Amino acid sequence: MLNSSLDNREQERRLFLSRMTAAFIGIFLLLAILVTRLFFLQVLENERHEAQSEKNRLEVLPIPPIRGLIYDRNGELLARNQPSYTLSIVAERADDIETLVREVSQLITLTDEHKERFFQRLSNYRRPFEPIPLKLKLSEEEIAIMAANRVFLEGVQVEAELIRQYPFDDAFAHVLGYVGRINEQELRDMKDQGRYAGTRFIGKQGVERQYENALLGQPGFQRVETNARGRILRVIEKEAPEPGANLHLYLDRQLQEKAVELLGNRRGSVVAIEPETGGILAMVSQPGFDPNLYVSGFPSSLYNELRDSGENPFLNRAIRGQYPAASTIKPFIGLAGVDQGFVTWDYSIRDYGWYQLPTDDRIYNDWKRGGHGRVNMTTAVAESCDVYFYELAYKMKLEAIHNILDQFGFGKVTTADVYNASAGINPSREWKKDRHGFSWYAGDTINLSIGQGYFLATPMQVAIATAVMANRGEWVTPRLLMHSNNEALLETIPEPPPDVHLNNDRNWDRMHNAMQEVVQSNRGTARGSGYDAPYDFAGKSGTAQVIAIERDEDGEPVEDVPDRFKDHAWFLSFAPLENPKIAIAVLVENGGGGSGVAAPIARALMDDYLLREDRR
Amino acid sequence: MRFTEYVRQLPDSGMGRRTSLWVRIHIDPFLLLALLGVCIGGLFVLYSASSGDWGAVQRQMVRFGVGFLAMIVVAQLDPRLFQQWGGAVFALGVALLVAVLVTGTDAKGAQRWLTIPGVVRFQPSEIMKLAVPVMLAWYLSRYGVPPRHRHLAVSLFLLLIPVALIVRQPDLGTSLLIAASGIFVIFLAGLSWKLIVSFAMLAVSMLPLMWIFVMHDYQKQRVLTLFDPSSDPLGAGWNIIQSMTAIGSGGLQGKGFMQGTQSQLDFLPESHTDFIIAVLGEEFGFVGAAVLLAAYALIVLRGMLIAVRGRDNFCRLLAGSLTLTFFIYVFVNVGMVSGILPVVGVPLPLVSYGGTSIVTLLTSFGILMSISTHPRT
Repeated sequence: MLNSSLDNREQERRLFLSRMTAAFIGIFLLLAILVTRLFFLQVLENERHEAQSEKNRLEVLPIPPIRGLIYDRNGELLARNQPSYTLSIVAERADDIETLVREVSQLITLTDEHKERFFQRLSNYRRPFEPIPLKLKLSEEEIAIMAANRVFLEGVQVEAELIRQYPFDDAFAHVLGYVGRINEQELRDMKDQGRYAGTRFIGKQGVERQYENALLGQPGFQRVETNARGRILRVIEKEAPEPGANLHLYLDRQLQEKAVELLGNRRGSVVAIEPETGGILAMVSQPGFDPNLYVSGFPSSLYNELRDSGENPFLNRAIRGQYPAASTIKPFIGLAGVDQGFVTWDYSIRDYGWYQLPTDDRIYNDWKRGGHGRVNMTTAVAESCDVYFYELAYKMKLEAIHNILDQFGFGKVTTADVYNASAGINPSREWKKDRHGFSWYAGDTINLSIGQGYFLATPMQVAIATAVMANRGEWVTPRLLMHSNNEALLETIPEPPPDVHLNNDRNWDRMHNAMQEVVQSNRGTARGSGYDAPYDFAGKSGTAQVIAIERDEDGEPVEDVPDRFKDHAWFLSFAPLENPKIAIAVLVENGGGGSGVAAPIARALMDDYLLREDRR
Repeated sequence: MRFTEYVRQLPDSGMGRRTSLWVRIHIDPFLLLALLGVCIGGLFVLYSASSGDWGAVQRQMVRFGVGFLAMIVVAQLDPRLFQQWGGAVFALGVALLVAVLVTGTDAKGAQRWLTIPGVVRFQPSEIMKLAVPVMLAWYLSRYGVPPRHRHLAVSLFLLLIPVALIVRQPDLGTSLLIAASGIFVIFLAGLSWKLIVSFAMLAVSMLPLMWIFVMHDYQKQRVLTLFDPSSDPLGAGWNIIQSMTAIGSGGLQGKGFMQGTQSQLDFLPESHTDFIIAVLGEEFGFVGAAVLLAAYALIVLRGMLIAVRGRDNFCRLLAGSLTLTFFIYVFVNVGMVSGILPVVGVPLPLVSYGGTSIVTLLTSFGILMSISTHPRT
């Protein structure tokens, strides 16, 4: 009994022992798997995991550079940077965007437009982990509210950033342009996205666009240690950003504002150039707009209203507005006519108020019914006699006219750094054939001689030609940039076109005198504007027809015409006659007669510029 | 052979021979030393894992105190008492599991806690970690080993009740561990290899059905992320990617105490509970992790020795099952943190921060000590 019981127990013990042996082998194998796994992770794959853990821990954050400042010629700030607080959301860090935005809207006021823009940006192409702005320009109170609640709103951040600010609002909108948020297209087209790391704005128009590369600067970087929630714990390494270049422009703040004031609420443009340097003193296009709205985001209602107003405030008339230059081109054609021997200064005709080509029946009227009587070159310029120039044009033919206009910069872009300038049209036979498919007719040349027909010019081109005229044919590249702390920028200014050479240099003086007669003789078209001027100056008026209107003997319309069909008023001038300091072109859209509307503006600007205390 | 066996048993049988001090106070010094080593080392890792939270370490020390006290008390009891009370505790445990499903406190979408207001809040499944092996060891040893088919069927049924109740909570990790503890008893009792192979094949063929009908979405997600953590790097895959990075970046010698960037900068989730081995691996490297595994291996070996020396079938089955289950804890936890097993909520025994499991584990070592120090009378 005892034996069998012992036997039985012994069997049970053996069975258990064998099972424990099996378990032991199993445990040994499983333990070996764990050790192998750890060895694989920690020794064989160590480098990869170490790199990953460093990547986790360290983050390279860009420090955006400070955008370069823009000054006028006297050191007045035209574009500056101001701190502004932006509420933004990092989508990757937020649990649920919609809920988060709702929570934020319970703390501070969010308009539907804020939300709409935010979700629009959210769905657009963007860099990962880039904060998406929800509300800009937070008030002090909003900053405090968000600071207190930040802990509860994972993914929300308030950032201080420097925002572009244009202290003179509308006055410089067209010439300086503006910066705006980098859009999808710009981001895709960017060659070096790294330079824009941390930067949200890019120059869109004007100087801001033209000198974008220099104004931007170079971003800096900081290597920081962050925790899993992206909070910065420690800065390990830092490389400071390089601020963008400051630009000093030839623009004269006072003259620019004066021009804006003089144009008032009329549509038009003023361009003033310093002949000696080619520097652009003023470049105005009215109506303007507030460029600061582009920075903060244009409210779409306001944008649509401006766009549909018919005033077209977004058109930069100074460089994009192309108009018939009308009689303002007479001095340039006349100069070539005399210098190349088609007429002499003494040659005169009798003007009965109309002209007819020998080859065709069509009557070409003078603007003055009944004509100017006997006129020579000087009086033809002073009184703006059309018939004299019809006949001169018939003698010169197209090529000579096209050629002299080309030498004065018409039909091409000669400015160095004016963004997106139009070339205007200086027509030629080939051009007409290409463009319209017809041959050039003699009548086209007649029209060209008074700056009508196919010929189109921008106010900038007229001002440039005036400056070259004032310089006695010497070209200096027209430009905005005077100097910069980035000296390399000046080297990018291209060479000007070749100077205008005359066979007889005395012809400059005689044309200058003829243009002086415009304003300072008792038969001059703009004699009213020249009255009592304390300096000698030269000018030329122009009245560009929008449509044919029946006129009386003074060229005034017989009946009332709607504003839209009224003539464009032109005036160009330079002063003082000896050693000119300023050349001006004024255009007033649908302003009527050039001498009546545009000339007084030019005179007031010259007074403002030349008679300042510090210039006497 | 039989005689020598009998003689070898003499000292253990306590017939007239003097017994050592350790046996008289019913403590296994070898096991105690190894357990203390793991616990104290674990406190250092916990201090680092909780970013220097001394309070957490103190609370953990209190649990160790309670656990070791329970261990010592249980060690004093004669194994016969477990045999006698096992059935009652098992029945009580099942009743509490039912109660949990009815009234349990919700935590993270699972009902695991039972609260007696103002008195205590605990997980009844912890009781079953001990009650199931005791119950099955008692049942199977009662009818002799190897078990007959009838007794096998009954013991499988007894096992299925608590496992099914815990799966319902749902707490897949715990239910699998409890199932394992029961299966170990049956295995050690001498289940024939033929049946083991057939059960294994049946289990494998059941997997697709489990996948479709039993497993919750989050459980499936955990399994899927095991195979491709990068499929959801910020969601379910985050834990496993970060823990593998933590362990892997530790290298051979580790980054140093409190120097682990993954754990100190919060990249590692659950760093002081289930994923604490990743902190150890990051800060003490392969060497540190290997030392810990060696300590666990010593505990397991000692447990197996106690089991083999057990005075009767009940003691042997119980001690063997508790020891193997303890090893499974270690394997599942280290396996999941190092990315070779799906993430199931199994803490690293004696090191992870947390209350009930420490007390349960140390109580089970109390049972082992009781078995090793209570020779047949």
